[in-house]
Amino acid sequence: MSKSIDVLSEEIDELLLRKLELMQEKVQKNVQMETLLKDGHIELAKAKYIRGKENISILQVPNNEDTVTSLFDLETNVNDNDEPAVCFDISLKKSSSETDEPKDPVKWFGVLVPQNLRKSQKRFQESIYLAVKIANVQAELTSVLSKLKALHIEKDNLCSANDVKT
Amino acid sequence: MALHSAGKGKLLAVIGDEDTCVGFLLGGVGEINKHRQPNFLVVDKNTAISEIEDMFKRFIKRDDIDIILINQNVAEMIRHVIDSHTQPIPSVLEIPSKDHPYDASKDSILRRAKGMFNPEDIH
Repeated sequence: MSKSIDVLSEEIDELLLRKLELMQEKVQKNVQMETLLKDGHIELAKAKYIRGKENISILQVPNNEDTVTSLFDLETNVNDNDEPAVCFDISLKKSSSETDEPKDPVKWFGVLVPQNLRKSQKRFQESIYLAVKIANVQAELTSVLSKLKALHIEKDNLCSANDVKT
Repeated sequence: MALHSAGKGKLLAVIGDEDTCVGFLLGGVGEINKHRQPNFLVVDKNTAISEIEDMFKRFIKRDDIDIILINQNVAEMIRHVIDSHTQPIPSVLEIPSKDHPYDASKDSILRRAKGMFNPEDIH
C-alpha cells in the first residue's frame, strides 16, 4: 500500500470541503439565475402586453435552417489529468463576412419592437453566460464526487486489509 | 465519451415551456441544423412524457450539443432519464421556470452530491 490511512483521510477531508464549497456556489448561482430569468420573463410579458400575445410567441420563430443560427460559440475543453475534467467557455460568434452575419433574433418579431423585448433579450443573454458558469461548477463537482468515491473505496480496502493483519 | 470531444462551435439546447424557449431563442441560442433538427423543444400541457424523453435522449446523443438547459418542472417528469445520465458532457442544467421556483433539493447533481454524506439518504 502506498498511502497510509491518515494521508487518505486528509485527502478525503479536503475534497469534502471542496465539495461543500462547490455545492454552495451552485446554489448561489442558481438563485442568481432565477432572478435574471424572472426579470427576463417580466420584460417579455411587458413586450407581449404592448404587441399582443399572438405577436410574440414561438410561432414567430422561423423554421428554416438559414435564419435560425446560434449567435454563441460554446467551446469545450476536456483534459484528462487536470483538476476540472471538463471546462466550458462561451463567446459571441465572430462574423466572418458581412454576408453571413448572424441575424438578430429580435427581427423575427418585427422591425420596430418594444424596448422591453430588447431588455428581455439582454437578460436572457446574461443568463446564458451564467449557465455556462454553472455548467463549469457542475463539471468540477462531478469530478470531485468521483474522486471521493475512489478514495472511499481505497480507504475501505486499506481498513479491511489492516483488520485482517491484526 | 466516444461521441463528445473537445471543440469549438458547440450548442446549448433548451427544453422548457414556451416563454423559456422564446426567451432563450431571443437570446440567440437557437439553431436548426441541415437535417432540420432544432436544438429546442417547447413543452406544453399536451406534450407527452415519452416525447420529452425521446428529445432529451436525442440531445444527449448529438455531438454538437454540450449543455442542455431544462426547466426543473419538466426535469421532474423525466427524472429517471436525467438521473441515469452521468457523463460530464453534455452537462444538464436545471433552470427555474416562470411558474415553478428553483428547488435545490430536486436538482439531480446536488442530490447525488448530498447522497454521499449519508448512503441511507439516497431516495
